[in-house]
Amino acid sequence: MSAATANYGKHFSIKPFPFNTTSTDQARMVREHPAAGKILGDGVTSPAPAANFKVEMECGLGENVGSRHNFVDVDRWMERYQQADPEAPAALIGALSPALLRFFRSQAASAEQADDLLQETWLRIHRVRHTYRPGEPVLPWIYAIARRVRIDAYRRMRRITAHEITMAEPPEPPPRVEHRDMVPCFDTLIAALPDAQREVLTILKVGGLSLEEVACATSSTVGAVKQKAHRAYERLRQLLQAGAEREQEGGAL
Amino acid sequence: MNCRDIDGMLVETSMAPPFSTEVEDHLRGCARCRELVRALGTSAPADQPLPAALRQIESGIVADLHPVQPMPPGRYIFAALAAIFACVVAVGVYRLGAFALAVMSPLQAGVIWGTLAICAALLGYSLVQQMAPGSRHWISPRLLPIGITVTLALAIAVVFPFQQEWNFGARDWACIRTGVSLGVIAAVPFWLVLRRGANLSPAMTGAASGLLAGLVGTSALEIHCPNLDAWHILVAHLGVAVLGATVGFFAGMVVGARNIRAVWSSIQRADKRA
Repeated sequence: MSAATANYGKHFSIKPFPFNTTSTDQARMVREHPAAGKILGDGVTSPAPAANFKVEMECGLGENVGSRHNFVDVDRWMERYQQADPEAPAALIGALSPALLRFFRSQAASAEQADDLLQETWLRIHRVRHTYRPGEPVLPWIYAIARRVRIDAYRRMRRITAHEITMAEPPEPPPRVEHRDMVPCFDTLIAALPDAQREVLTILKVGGLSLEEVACATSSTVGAVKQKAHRAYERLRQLLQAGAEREQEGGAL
Repeated sequence: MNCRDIDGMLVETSMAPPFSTEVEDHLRGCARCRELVRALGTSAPADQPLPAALRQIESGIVADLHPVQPMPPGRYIFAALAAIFACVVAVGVYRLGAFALAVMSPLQAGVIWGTLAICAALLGYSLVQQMAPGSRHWISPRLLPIGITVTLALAIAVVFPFQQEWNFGARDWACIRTGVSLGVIAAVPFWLVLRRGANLSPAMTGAASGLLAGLVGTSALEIHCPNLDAWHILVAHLGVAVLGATVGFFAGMVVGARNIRAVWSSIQRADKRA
């Protein structure tokens, strides 16, 4: 098996790929956070040249599942973080922040809110870093904290909005860019799902965690996660079909 | 191959080309699955965190960076909780006397003590897992305290007789006071152990810790109190555990609100520094 391409079963071939970032984004990230280059990509040393990353803009989410295999070093960086290595925070923040930001954005947070949640997540991670047990996977630990931050923020927002008086209509959010003959993108698609299903699908597909890891991150069981994911896919099918039917009717008229 | 199999593949693995022949055959014939796979493979350009924001987070963390001792393995924490539980119950029974031993039948003793031991062990394990975020839970930590209370209530209702003329009286008060005192004594060392954890959901952890402390009181009363009336046991013995869970829940809510305020003031300080 080559370092760049891993085969998973007879059906799938997955290229390791750190999230849906472009080479420019990653190059910028590495410029700003040189230690991130030690984590991103296979065998890339700090600072990592952008050309070393396997990047396909249209690759979608399939590769994200492979991305988790690039994070074997995150465990080691986490241990170094606990030992107060000054390079470790930059490495971890650079490597994990894009996925965390995407996680918050997919949970219906605005760009500004998502930035705040990201900041709050890293502060909480810093406060409870001693609760990470060396040798255990980092990603469920990180996502469990991020998920809690999101829930707390949601409750806080709900309390605030309950006491607010709307003075003007909020501006319309900018429309999401959709590719390939008006097929809705992943983020647009999952926005229609209930919170719990959207959360599971986002951690599975954007975070690239396994079912067991999602169950750990959400304090749930593997069975419950599977059930939520199945229901989410069934709902997505219905939504896509309804959309296609509407389009057909519009075309016929 | 059917739509359910495609769902299974999407859940278990990723659906990325090249697909197997069976998958391709199904996708060719099923428009719904084809659209779903296509839509899942189409992602919007991802928002990237601003480098300045990342630098700000990093500088805030590096300014406060010092080595930390990782939490001990879960089995040590579980052993500590079990030892505290057993010690407080033993001391309580030693001081109060084990009068229930003489009046309970083997069935009653086996059922109530066995159920209490299993419930306390499950609760202790759940608390150990709650200390470290991202740990595996066999039973949802939200449901466990409710499940334990209902199980104990059922066990008491099944094995102990209900007396017709029961009034809340001095004996009930005496049991509640004794149970609460033992619960408070156990709560202090429990808190000292559990405060090392992350406690992401303080209200939930507080309810579980309060219930565990209350179960210390209930267990001691089940060995001490010779009153076998089911009403008395439900109200004056199990009531101690329920009271503990309620107090723990509200204490956790207060702690949670304080933690959130502390995080926000840290963010504001970092913003000011930036």
